[in-house]
Amino acid sequence: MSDHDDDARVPGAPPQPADQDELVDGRTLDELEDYLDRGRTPRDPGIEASAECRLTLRALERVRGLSLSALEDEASRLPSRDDTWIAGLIESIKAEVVGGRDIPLRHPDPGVRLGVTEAAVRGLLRQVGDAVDGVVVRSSELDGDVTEADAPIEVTLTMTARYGVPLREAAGALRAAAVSALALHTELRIAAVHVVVDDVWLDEGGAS
Amino acid sequence: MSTEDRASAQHDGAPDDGAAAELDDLSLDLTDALRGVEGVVEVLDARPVVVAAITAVADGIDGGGPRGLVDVVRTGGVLTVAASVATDVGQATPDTLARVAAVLRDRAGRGSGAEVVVSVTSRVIEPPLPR
Repeated sequence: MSDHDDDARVPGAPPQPADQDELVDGRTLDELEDYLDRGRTPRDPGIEASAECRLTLRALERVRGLSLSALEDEASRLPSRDDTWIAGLIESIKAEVVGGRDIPLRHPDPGVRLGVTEAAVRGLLRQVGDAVDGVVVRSSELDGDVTEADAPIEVTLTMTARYGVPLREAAGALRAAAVSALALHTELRIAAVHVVVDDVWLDEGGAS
Repeated sequence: MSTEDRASAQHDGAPDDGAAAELDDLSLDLTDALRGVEGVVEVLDARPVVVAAITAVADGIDGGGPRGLVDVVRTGGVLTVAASVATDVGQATPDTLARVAAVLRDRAGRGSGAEVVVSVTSRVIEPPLPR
């Protein structure tokens, strides 16, 4: 996906059909949601061959799952807060699906170069984090030179938790899941995993 | 195009269309081969964004046929092959990518006589979709 270039817009120029900032590899979020609604059929090769679109589809699926369960109840109580919460999550996801840095993997053959994109790793962290009961990963950061083998990397995961979930245990489970996933899929030298809990949501039972 | 041929550049009317078509065929063959590699969920478009966009426009004009998603470039005696894939979260990505690289080297190097340089990137790590 190309970099966004807000400066290229001419002041006063008529609005474009879709703001470039709203596009994911040339597709609008609405298009991707519609495609998801159709069960990703008929298969759209343009979407399926795009890493950014796939990462967004997977993230939208998770957001949708949240909307339909725990957050639905909260929305009826605090609709404006829920909208903000979801919007913030979507913004975070959109920022994360862009490729980012290339993280190298070792291979004995000098004619072979292997790697994983930073976006893939962030998507992975979101995926394994969301699988932890009562946890939603809002954002992830990889601090350090991930392009350099053996450079120490610090990971910061920002999560929200369902009300009533023991935060220390949830943070520990998230950290363990992240370390395990990073060890399986990358060769990063993880110096630390920081977990920040920045919000709590009410569960469907309304334990408030 | 005389010193550098790129697969999927068939719409530029270059004189050595034969060489470009050969690389297109190779790209298509490699794309199909990668779909069968253990741990590969999907083959993604590896070509630079501008090249992919131009091809998409050209395909829209002339109908286009099936096209490969693996980027194949021949520069002199070197064949550079770049693939982007989505890998299965259930399998170690370094192992999956090593398998992909082996397939690319084997098939791209077969009978070409060129030195083959391979680049493989996982851009998505996810569970396979139900088919």
